[in-house]
Amino acid sequence: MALSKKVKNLDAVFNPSSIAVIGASREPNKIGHVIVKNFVDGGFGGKIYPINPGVGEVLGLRAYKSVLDIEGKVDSAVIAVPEAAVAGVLEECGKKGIRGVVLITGGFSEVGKVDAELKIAEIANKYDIALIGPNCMGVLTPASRVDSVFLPIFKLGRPRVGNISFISQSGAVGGCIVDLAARAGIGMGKFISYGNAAVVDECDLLEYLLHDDDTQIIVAYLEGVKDGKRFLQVAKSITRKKPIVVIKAGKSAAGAEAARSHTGSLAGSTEAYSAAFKQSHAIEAQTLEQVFDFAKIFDQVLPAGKRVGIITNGGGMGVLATDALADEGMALAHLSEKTHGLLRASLPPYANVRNPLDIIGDADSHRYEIAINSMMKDDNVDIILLIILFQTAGIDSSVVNIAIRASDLRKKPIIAVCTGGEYTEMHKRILESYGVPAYSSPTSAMRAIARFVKYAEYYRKHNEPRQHAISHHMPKP
Amino acid sequence: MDFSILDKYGIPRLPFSVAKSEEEAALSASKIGFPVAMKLISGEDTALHKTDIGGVVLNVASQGEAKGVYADFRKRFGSRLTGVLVQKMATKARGSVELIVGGKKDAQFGQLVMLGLGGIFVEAYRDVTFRVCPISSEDAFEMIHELRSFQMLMGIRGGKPADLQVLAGTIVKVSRLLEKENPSEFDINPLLVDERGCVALDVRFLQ
Repeated sequence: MALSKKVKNLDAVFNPSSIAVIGASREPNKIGHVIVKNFVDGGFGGKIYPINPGVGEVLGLRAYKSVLDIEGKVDSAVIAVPEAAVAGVLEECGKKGIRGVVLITGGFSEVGKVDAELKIAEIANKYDIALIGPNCMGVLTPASRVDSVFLPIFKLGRPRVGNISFISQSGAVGGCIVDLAARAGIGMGKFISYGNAAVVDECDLLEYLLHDDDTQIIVAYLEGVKDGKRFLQVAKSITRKKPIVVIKAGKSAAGAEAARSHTGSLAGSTEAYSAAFKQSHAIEAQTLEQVFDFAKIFDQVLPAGKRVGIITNGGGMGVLATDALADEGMALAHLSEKTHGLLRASLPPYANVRNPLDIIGDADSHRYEIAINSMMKDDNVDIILLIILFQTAGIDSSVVNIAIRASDLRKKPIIAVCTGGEYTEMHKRILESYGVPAYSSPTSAMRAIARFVKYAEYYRKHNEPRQHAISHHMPKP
Repeated sequence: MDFSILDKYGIPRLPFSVAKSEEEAALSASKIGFPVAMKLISGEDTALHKTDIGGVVLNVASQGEAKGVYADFRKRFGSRLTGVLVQKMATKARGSVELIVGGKKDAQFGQLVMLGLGGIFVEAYRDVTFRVCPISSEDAFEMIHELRSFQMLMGIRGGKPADLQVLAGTIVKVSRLLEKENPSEFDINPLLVDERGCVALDVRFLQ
């Protein structure tokens, strides 16, 4: 799939060495001020040019009347001027050779001004500008410190650098996603609020992210897609290489139209979207919580199969996990004889050596280490589910390091379940920050594991040499 | 009737003919072979759910009975009756399952193909799954496996497992039909599925 010039120019949006903020303001409450401040405070390493014909400087940076007055080259621009002024400044961006634009300004097709939006698209297309928006909340690239999200950093947290990239049609939902990710310690590659998608639409962004080395997992919040067939085709080509987690809003309107057949009465737009997601092997989330639950698990290495080894310091949690495992169609790993022997020799005599492996309420970090190491070595275990109840006397923070070290080996996926209050949440955040997905319940963990396993199967089918098929046709000696 | 469209795509159906009078009904029925099913044909939408209005009579066993059913239909439906479909009665095997295979045009994605548990329980159980057309045979198998009723197709209580290969092939054929004919709505319900393969017992095609 060859990328169009427009899509390639998105590089200028995410990795610019110079950026103009058009509509930059000295008033602290104005969007045009917050954006400049976010670039400065966020530590953006490139040049920042505030554009405002009425002022000499913004936040100590020299301001320009127009991008055309800047001597040097400018890669991208953020536009936050009133709707009536947008066409004029965009034309100037084109003349200046700016390749990427984030157009924050609203008041276009979302309020019925379709012609004004078409005019914007026409100008952008004339200059091959990759334009995101209008009516969007901006983009965020933690790695390159690009931050055109117009919400102040003290109000909306910014996530650490990671490999999950988010695209969101809705600015409001997108903002919540960013804030929640920051709080949970989940890393982000890119965040793109794409608004009305006048020029760059969801399919363009997906294509770009497929080729983006900083993105390993894609999350899309969709209210609708522009072209269903193209979406299906693009999504299909992406999932062979990278997982997509998708959430579709606007389901309640489904089935509103009168239908005359059985199929008609059962087929709403929800069904159509779900069908497209299944066919493209995208992972559909039903809630915002699930979006994170499903996405963050892909920080781990893909599992070789569906056999789960469960380690717990609380018997009841092991039972709940086993129930959830059965519900989701996963398998309980049969620990090998060798593992049994190893565990019997190292664990206290009252520990019951089987799967789920209950290392008992008095377990300390060392016992977790023994349990993890034994399951790591056991070929019958594909996935390790690590249930840690932080409420017990024997557990301290060092168990987190053991989990992170095991995860860093990248041999088998390590998935944590930590159920509890503030003390637990604190440790959960540390685990997440180091790429160990941590869940609040065995059920939510198992739901994510089931999707992870299914995707892994699909991925292998398309990314490994088909040895069986090849050997079948080999000439006999 | 809409059955002819099935032939064009190689979707198996039962032998049938259309009768316009008592005599034609009796003659068709004996040609097809008893027992037969007789179904109301009407230009009106009321015929869409024929069972609900008493427009379907099963197991008609003789020429006399066939004449009687036709007369009764005329008495009850009057000018709404444009004919009667005389159809061979399906013979059910122990493991026979009634499924629905349908289609609908979606504004965003185009034709969707649906597979579900059929018969009169479609809306009650809503055990259905959709795909965007065109579909591959792999997609069809995924749809079959996705049904909650999947175990019924594997043979329960002494029934033999259904021929899933033929079923998957039929779903793909319906997907082709939907793409070519582009109906606004389409149903094969029920599609009788068992170890012998599958056969369409009733069909609705809305342009």
